[in-house]
Amino acid sequence: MADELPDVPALRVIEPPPGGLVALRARIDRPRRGRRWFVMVPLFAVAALLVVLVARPRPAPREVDALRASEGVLRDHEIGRGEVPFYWVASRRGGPSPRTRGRPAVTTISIDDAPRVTTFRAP
Amino acid sequence: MAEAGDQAHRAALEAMYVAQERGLVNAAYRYVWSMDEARDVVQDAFVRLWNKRDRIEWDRAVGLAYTIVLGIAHNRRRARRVRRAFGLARTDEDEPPPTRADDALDAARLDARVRRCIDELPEKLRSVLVMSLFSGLDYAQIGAALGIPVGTVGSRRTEAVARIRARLEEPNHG
Repeated sequence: MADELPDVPALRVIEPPPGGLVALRARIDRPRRGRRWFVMVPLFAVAALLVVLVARPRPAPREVDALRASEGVLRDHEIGRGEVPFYWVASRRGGPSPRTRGRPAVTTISIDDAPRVTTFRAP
Repeated sequence: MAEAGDQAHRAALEAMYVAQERGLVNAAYRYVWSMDEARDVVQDAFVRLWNKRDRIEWDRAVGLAYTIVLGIAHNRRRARRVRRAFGLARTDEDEPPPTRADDALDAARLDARVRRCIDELPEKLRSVLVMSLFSGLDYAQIGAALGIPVGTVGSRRTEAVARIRARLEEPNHG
């Protein structure tokens, strides 16, 4: 080698730092951690799925839904000032509405076999 | 039974480490240019050998050790280049050792130029050169380790040396 290439430190044999065998023994005796991430991936996926399932918005119970719908229907009940009968038509079936003071009683009329679009005309 | 087998593997691995550490570290050093990292590369390789101990014939494992060491060192060097390209790498390379008095500057320059020449060699030439310089293996063993014919080992070594010499003779190089 030396007769073909210059004698420079880059080409000279260097003694490795001491303690190599001791360090190697320590590395071999250390518990393996290399492939732990293979286990972590499915665990993380399951955890993420659980979070999504628990945190997703769920539909309100039917009673609350009906209550909200009926309140929406009755919100403007003062339009008629109690002198004219007033009919609201809802696009879906409503439940019983809570009776509050000052509000007229509500009678629910349902047209079970109504077509998709129904027109009401005032007399 | 398995424990006795492990003890035999352990003894063989450690014996090989003691016998080959210097050559392997020197070979890895010509890739990463840091003695600490070179030793880390060699130890990584021996941990891999240990993990494959049941499939290894220790009396023929020296070539395999060199192959693994050069593979790891090559990958680390490439990864460092990428990090450097993105400005993320620290300069872990050892400085060339100081030389004396007035010759110091010239010697340091020549050393740096040789390092650069080795860095510029294609991998197939560098691996042959480094193994022939530092492993103590003959051409047949190097060829077996790298999976190339003996004649190719010789021709690649000659080409590597010729390229380095040619680059060193270029007036503007370095």
